[in-house]
Amino acid sequence: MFSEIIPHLMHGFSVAFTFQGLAMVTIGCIVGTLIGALPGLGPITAIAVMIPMLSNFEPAFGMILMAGIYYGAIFGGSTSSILINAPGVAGVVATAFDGYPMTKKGQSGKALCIAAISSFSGGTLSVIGLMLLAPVMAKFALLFGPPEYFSLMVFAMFAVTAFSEGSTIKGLISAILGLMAATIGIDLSTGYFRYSMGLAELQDGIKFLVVILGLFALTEVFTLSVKKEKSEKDADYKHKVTSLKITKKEGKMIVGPICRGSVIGFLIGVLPGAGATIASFMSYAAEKKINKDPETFGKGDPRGLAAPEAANNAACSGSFIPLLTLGIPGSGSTAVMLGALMAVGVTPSPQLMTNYPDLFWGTIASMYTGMIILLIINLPMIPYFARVLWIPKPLLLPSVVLFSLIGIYGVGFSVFDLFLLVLFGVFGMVMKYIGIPPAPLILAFIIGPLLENSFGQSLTISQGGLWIFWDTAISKTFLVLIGIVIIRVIWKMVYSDTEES
Amino acid sequence: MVMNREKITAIILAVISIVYIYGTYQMPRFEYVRLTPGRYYTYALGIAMLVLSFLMFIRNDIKSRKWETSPEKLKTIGVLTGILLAMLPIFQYLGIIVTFTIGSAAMSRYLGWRRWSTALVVFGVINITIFLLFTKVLGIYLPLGRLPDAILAMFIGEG
Repeated sequence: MFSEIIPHLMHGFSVAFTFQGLAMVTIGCIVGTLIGALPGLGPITAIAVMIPMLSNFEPAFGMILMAGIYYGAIFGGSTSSILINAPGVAGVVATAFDGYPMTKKGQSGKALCIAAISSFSGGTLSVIGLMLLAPVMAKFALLFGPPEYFSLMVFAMFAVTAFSEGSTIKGLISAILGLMAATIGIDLSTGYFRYSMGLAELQDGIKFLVVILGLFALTEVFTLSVKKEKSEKDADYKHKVTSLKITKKEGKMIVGPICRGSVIGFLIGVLPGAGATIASFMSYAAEKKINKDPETFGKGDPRGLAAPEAANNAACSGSFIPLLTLGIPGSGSTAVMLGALMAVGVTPSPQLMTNYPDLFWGTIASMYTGMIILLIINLPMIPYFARVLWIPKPLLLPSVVLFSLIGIYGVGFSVFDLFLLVLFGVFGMVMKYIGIPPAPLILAFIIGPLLENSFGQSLTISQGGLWIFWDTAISKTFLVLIGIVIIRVIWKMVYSDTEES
Repeated sequence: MVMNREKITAIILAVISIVYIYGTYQMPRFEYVRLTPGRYYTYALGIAMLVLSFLMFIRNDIKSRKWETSPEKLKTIGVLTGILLAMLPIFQYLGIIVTFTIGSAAMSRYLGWRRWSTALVVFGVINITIFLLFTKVLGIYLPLGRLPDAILAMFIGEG
């Protein structure tokens, strides 16, 4: 197995160690850490604002940059969780459980150091897992034809909505809205312009960057602009980064949680729909359960910080497996990456590894360098990076708007797109008000054309018969899994009704 | 029956799905195209949305709400949206740098930043940096704007 992987990995390093490869991973890690550290702005916004610049790079380097931003944002997200109890992304909420109490005890430096070591270890162990598992999955993916691909995409969408927080019905509504929005434009089977309302600007469909920046960046700007500042008491802890040194005893203490968190994180990250948030909560809960003194958790226990930090970074690398091997995103962030790849001409499919070895192995190899860069950024330089928390909201938020506006205009040179961006920003607020999650919409909007395409191809093969989706073992398995998810959803609905009554 | 935001949304979504299904029905049929998967696909989406909006109406799931609004919040969002919408029609004339610098400074001022001068300098620098990054480094053309172009032409001369 290793003899097969090593030549490919060496090829990956030859891509990752070029000047452009190293520059991309470094920029990605820095941008990701900075944006991830800002409360409210997560990896999706960070990746989205960089997308307009990707058209100038080869897909492999673009992917290295986006991957760097993604794990950089998860890495950096712990800073605001620990220092001001304001997680930048959902995946680092569990980090604050013990990270913030450590800050309150005057151990913010120690907490940041433990978070950095745990993130590095979790990320690196997970990249090894990714390297070993991805080729196996990629070989399996070669068995996929249009019906299997269609069933897999439907399964991924169901999984994302089933695992997303809040109401499953609202999650499904979000996904269907995304699929509907993706049908605007030309119908490939007939050449007819659908749902474009006679507007020439909509004949090519809605640009995915408009949807992402509208629903995430602009909505976050609106949300943060109306959010009340933390109280003065909380603000006292802000910006005080104490000594980063950890004792030998603490070092030994966190080894177990890091290893367990990494395994849990990786396994959960591979599943579509789960991801960093569930992984970090599960590893925190597991750690609390297996330890003899669970009462110390939540009061600044380093183990309670190490486990979720290792898990969320491991999940982050794990989530690249469905993306790189099957061409299917399992989360909002990986969906944005897939959309960006499509925009630069990469056709996502289960043959991604075979068709784009530079992209596949280059990204995996770059993750090793990325983890080291992140450790360097997050250990000696963290007191400086923590200063991004000082940026006043009135200067920060218009800057995000600026990046979004110029980014959108730079991609399409269309004022109509800018109006659409504002419309999606307001729509994102309406979704927030109703409680409809935006992540399924993004995922569905990006994979919508692929889904429709594989559906069309399947029906063409079967000459219009829907039985084709039940005809092969792989497709059948996914349909059974979709059935299980639906049963779970119904069970959840009935169960919550019983609880209410 | 009390109409809350879930029920109203469910009705709006049901209307959207009916319009969507009607849109699919309105698509022309081509004599020589025997199979139109796109039609089945969009019908399926419309029906799925109709079913989900019905489920949303009867489920009335208010627990999943994460955000509450207030007149103050609505005012802030309204003003920011207004500034954004005011910027867009004029930016082709005044150009990216001038329009977005003034617009961002106005947003900043509304969000509580008191000094116009600092805001204009900060956003001016950010704007010029992004403009140069796009045009000089990435090779992506961004219009300077008709007015700045005309002013430049006055000083430098055409061509």
